[in-house]
Amino acid sequence: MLYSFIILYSPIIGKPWRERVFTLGEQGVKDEGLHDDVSGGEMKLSREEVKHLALLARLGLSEAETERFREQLSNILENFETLQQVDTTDVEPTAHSIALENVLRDDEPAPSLLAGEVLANAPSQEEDHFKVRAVLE
Amino acid sequence: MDLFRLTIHEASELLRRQELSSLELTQAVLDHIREVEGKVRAFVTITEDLALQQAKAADQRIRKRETAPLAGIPALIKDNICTKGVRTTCGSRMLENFIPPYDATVMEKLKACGIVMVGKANMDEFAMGSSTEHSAFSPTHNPWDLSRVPGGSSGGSAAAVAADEAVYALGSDTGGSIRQPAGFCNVVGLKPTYGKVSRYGLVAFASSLDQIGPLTKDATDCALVMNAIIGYDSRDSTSLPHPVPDYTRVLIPDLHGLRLGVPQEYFVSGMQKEVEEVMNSAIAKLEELGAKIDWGVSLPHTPYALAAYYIIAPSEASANLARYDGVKYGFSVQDAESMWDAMEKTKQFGFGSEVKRRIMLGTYALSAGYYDAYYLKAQKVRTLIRQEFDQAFERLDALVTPTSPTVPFRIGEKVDDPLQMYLSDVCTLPINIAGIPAISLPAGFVDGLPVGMQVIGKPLSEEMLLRIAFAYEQATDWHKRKPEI
Repeated sequence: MLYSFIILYSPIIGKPWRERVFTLGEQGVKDEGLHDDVSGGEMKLSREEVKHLALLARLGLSEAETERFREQLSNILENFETLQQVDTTDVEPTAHSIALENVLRDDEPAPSLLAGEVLANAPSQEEDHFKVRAVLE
Repeated sequence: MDLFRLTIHEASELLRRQELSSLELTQAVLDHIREVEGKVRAFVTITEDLALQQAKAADQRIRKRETAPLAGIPALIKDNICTKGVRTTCGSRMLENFIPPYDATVMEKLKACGIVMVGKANMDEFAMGSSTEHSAFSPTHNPWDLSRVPGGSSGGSAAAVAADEAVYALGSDTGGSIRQPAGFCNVVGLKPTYGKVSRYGLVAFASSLDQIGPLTKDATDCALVMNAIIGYDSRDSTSLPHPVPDYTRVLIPDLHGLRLGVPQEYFVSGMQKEVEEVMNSAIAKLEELGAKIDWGVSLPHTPYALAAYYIIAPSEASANLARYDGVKYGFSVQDAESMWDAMEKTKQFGFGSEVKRRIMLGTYALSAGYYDAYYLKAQKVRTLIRQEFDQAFERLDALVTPTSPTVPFRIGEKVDDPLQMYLSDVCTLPINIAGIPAISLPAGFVDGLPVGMQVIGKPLSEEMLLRIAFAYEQATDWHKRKPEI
């Protein structure tokens, strides 16, 4: 029979909760150590990290999506830890499977799309230009 | 005779002899689409008027004896391949109303051959998925069992060819997106060597892995479509400048002198027992045809391909999909407080959940502090996987594996469990990581559901793969079986 005791505490007020896990097994009580940020269960990613990633990607997320992605991405990333088992000492990374170098072409004039064709799918346009919101406000 | 059941080479012969017109053939296919499409849902857009117009033009060319093998043959194009003047949605709300101002290179080539395009194929949004359930519009149903998925992401292309809604289709393959649905739907699907087919005009998902290829009713048709779409293109800087062979010349029904390997890592623990049995008899058939089989091949880094792939592909996707900012084209939220707010809302409401998940995953793997541990590590594992294949091909002509570890799963079964969904690509994605070619062919059935056999070759060995596919097909009749819809 295996029992787990979890002690929750917040070392500094305002910082995420931490937990200390003890398991009681046939060998007696075993200290499993400290785990960071358990405010929503033990996961690889915190809510704050998920929100920060979404900001980096300029991707809006609802609260429900933030929580769901936190769980799913944590689970996926934990599974991908297996990659760390591979010995890659002295292995060069591969960016492209077929190595081609210095792909150049002659700089010759060729037909290109007309402004009207390029703008035909634009959500907002004015005088042959894409219309965007003010970047500096 | 049901005209819509014809293969390319059968129809082409009748057209050449003027015993059939493209208009008759196209009309028969369009009528059949009307009959079964309500159940299969393989199309995002049906281009009936365009098809009839192109059929008439093809008939004129054929009458003047200006014939190409694909002239006048009705085809379906995956909806991430740009078609000038015909909307190209990528299975996404983001591009629901996007009408490309130009044709992809493959479309230019097929138009020069006299294509009759009957429509644009349904797909997982931005080609991210293994079931076509991630289409923003509707899931596609497997013609062999409508309660099951057709695979993905080229599920619409595969289901349509299986259901005879098109004589052939184009798909794209980033981690198995041509081969896995081909296997699930009992059709032939080929992912060419990276760089063999131009990616110009293919909506980018993971640029170092993406490749366009054919889905067809048999190996001969696959060779004919390959002949039409391959070749160097200066508009794709990763396009290979190698000579272009005639793939139909290698189709001989004999495998004597070939050495085929069966890598044990592809017969994994999660594999369905019945799929393994089908594979064993398929491999025995290859042996009967004269091939020497090496059952003891080992590719020990195979188990790491899944993690490497799901770091590399989302990383590239997160960069490629940054362009959907609601400014130049596509869905755009105008009602917002600021530029950043508009951009965030555009992506929030324009993308579906699998696309968002992968953008998040890729952003994580590329972000400061995690780059070395994830992205760089995955790129190094990629090197090891490629080296392992190269070593195997020093003494073997091709490798034989199942295309997928299971038969088609039920709609809804894996949609909420991304990791389980990712596992259905476990046999196909190492091939994209290595940039080598592979073909999936019909290899048998388990309780009426198709099983695909994957044949993997060294770079530029498409001729070898088509020869093996052709020989196997001549000795079996799995590819001739048709679903009752």
